[in-house]
Amino acid sequence: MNVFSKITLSSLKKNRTRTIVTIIGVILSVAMITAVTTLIASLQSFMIRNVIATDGDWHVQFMEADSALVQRLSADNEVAAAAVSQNIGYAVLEGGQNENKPYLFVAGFDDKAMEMIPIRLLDGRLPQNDREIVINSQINNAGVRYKIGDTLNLTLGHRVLAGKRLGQNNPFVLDDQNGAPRESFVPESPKAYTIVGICEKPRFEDYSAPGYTVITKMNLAELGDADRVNVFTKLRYPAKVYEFAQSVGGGSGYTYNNDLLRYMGISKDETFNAVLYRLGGIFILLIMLGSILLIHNSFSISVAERTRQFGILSSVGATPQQLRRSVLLEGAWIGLIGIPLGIMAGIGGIGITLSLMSGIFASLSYSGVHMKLSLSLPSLVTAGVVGIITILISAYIPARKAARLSAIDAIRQTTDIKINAKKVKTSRLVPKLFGLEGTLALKNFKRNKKGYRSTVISLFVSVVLFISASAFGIYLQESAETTINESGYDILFRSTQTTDEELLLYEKLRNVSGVYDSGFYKALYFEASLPKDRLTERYLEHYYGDSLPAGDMVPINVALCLVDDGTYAAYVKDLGLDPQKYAGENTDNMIVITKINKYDDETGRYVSFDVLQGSLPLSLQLFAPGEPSGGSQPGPEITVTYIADRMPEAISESRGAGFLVFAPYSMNSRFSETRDEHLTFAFLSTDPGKSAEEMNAILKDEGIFSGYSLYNIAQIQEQNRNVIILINVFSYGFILLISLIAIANVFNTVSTNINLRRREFAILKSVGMSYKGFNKMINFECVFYGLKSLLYGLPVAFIITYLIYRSVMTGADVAFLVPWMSVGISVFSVFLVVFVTMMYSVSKVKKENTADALKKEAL
Amino acid sequence: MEILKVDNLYKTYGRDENLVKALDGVSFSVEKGEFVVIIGPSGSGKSTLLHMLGGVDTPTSGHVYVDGKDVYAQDPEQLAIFRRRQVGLIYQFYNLIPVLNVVENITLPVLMDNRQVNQERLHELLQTLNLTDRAEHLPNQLSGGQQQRVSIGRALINAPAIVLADEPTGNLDSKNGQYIVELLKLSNKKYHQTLIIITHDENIALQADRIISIEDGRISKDEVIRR
Repeated sequence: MNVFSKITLSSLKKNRTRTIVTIIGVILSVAMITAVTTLIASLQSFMIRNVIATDGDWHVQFMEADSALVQRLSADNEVAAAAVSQNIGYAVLEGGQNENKPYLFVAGFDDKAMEMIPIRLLDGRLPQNDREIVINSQINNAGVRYKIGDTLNLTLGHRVLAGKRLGQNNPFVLDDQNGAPRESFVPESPKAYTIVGICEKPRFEDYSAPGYTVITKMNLAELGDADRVNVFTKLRYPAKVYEFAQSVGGGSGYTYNNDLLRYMGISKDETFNAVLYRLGGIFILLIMLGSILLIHNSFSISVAERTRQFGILSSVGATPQQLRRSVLLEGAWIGLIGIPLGIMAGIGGIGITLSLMSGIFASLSYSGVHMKLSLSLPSLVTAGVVGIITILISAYIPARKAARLSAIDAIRQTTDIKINAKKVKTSRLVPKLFGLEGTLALKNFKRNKKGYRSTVISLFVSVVLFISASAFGIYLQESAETTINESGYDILFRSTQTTDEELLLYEKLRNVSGVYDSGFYKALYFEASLPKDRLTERYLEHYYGDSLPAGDMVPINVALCLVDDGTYAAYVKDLGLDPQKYAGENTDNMIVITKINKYDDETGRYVSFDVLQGSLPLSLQLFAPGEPSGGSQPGPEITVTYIADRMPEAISESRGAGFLVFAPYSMNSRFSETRDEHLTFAFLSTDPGKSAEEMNAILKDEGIFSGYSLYNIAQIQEQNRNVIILINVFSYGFILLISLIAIANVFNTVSTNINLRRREFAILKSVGMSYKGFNKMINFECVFYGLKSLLYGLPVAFIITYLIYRSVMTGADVAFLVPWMSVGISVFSVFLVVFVTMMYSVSKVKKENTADALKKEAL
Repeated sequence: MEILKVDNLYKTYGRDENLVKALDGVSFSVEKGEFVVIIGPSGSGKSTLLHMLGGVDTPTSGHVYVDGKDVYAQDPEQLAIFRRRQVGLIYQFYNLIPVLNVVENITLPVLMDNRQVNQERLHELLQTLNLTDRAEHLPNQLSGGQQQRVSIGRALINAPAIVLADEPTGNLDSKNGQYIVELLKLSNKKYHQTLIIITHDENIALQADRIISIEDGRISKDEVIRR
């Protein structure tokens, strides 16, 4: 073994405690870096599995392929799997009311396609032969309802325009002049299918596609020479997909599974990975900076202790390079032990965290894909390399310093402590306040500023991070609580179908178990014109600014809510109004809210102000939105006679635009259908989860699969809470690890400094300082270090807390608050850490015989 | 033949009113094989001078030539190699590496050179230094005299042209002290090495070929005793 290796290894062994603590620091740092890189790898794998679940497990799709190409692709060595789908044809959707989507589009999938292309069944099963079919839930939107078991008698055919066959990417277009379709449908053959399942709209169907996709099974063997199919291929080496597609090419064309390729990092569009890597990079950089700050300190201590040794080596002819190498060697030994352990700890830590959090992740996942630990070689190598770099930098800084020192200075250790009387001068008050021991403590503190700087910095970093992280958590919770559930209802059902029959559904839904109160309303959206002088300056300023239209009249939005009579009556009573005047179907007295709450982009806050000025009653001539005032078809005229300050229960409408007008639902017949309206049911339930489940079952029975939204508000709140828990777990985990590194650092610094002051302590004891006095002096020093860390740490933490408050609480009106609990914890912890390490270090020194310590050379 | 030449050497510490002149224009030269003793009161600058000669401290101005080569014109790497091969330094407080045993401490300059240790020379040296049965001991298992002999071994292992000793006997009793001086004189005669010793001991001084007295950073007396 090289003589320098031997010296390095021996001194590492001699200072066993410090070496172990340094290794622990490295382990923690590498563990955190591994956690970040592994989390990135896991997230990427999650995204990839997610895309596979929604878009399918294929890389490139060849369109319009003939059977020769199908065979060629199936036999190709580079292809891991090939799936085939066939465009069987179009059929007119009987009873369909969607004028942009008048067809059914029948697609045939082979076995492989059923595997590789996701069909998300809402009910039933997949087709097993070419007489069975799965229908698309979106058919509901066209006003058509089918059930499993129904038979679908179709006349299959194709669409033609100007002699050309049309496909799913040619939208259905009506002629501008006569309103008749431009294309024509050519019927070919009748075919009967049995509906065996209902699925969500497949991802490959575009919103502008003219036919609702329905899927049957196809038989590859029966494929004729003239038939054309789509081939979905999964490659053995996905990175070669672009070359492969080009080499196969053909005249038929191909498309890539772009999302999948993007998340795999193959696509040229690297946005997602770039963002992920950049974010991860920032985190790793932060951890690195923190770690270097702390680990470098361990090496500095080691170098300071070995300065004399370096001096001797240098005087007998060690070159600066040899000395630097010797320190780096020390780093290599520490890394050799610390980095592998750190990587293992990181994987273990993040693995345990992810599995403990799996329930929460599951509640946030819509595609049924779960977040789980995924290891990748690059992520582990990155963590290892970053760890090595961290240690190298940490070791190199003190190594350079050691090598620079002249040999004789190093032997004499003259440069370590530069001291003059002015620097350690203390006020005359100090001895009176703290006694001799306090004065000595303060002088020590002042003299040894540099030695203890890293202690103060470590504690400072921990305090700042801890307080800011908990403030972040608190504000996140606050903002989550203020932004959700204004309506006070547990379940909301909103449908764009607003006919009276829909109210039968309301009766059914309100009878599920758990529901104890309910209400509904229909919202219709209009505009009205008002003279400028009836509107407030604030409103005009806010909505029009400099672009105020000329003339006297200004348009304003009017949302009319027809509330069910029961709820409305309660509302009228609650406002203290006369039921005779306000309730009932013939009332001319409507209630209005004229105050709006709106998010202001400029100030970043919610603003609240009145729209209307002047007295009531006010008559409003309504128009369909977007029509110029006095346009072709005026709507109904209404009169509002009372300004309310609150909405009826069950209403969940935003107050962002203009007037919110309330009237009883019994007046519904007065208003003809508008273009933009919806019906909302609101329910209170003792068990929202169960009620929502039963409601979903009812909707399924009714054959309703789309065109509505069912919000389980209780569940949404639960999800929000889960997100907060997740963020808290990760941020506190991060803080905990950083704090542990900081504590390791404080321990190393304090114990070494105490160790270096052995002689000084012995001198104090030899001139008669008692144990009590000695303890007092040490306690004072502890207080000074603690105070100094807090003196810097607390104000910075408060500033960061305020910045977090400003950025997290955009809008929501919550007062700035200091997380006093966390402040208390950090103050307590700072003193605890300082006192415990001081006491530990001092107890080791105390055992020593005074005379021995006095004789002892620094070496 | 002139082996060492010191030319107008200055070393100052601090500045303005705190300025301390440790060396204040020292010039002299030493012939190969000469045994020189430097004497002077404490704080006179003699240790500083010795460190300058050994290449372990840097002068404020002036030059030191060893074998005609300007020592401080070299870069740090070359200077380290100069210390390793050309000079042997012996300190009052031995300055051994505590984690290395006697043989490793003695052969340190050779090991740093990544060269093979000449076993014959090592054995001869151990025998001369009377350390043969202590070869595997660590410094803290040795007496003061033994430790100083190890440090002499370290200074001599590379057969340097100049051996510099800073009060090598200052920490030893007179018997051990005389033994150390005999060893150094032996090496001086046997290998024709130049030997420069700082001492307060008149007995040692009187054994030298030449005595240089230093006072307040200047040479106050330079007398040749025997030739």
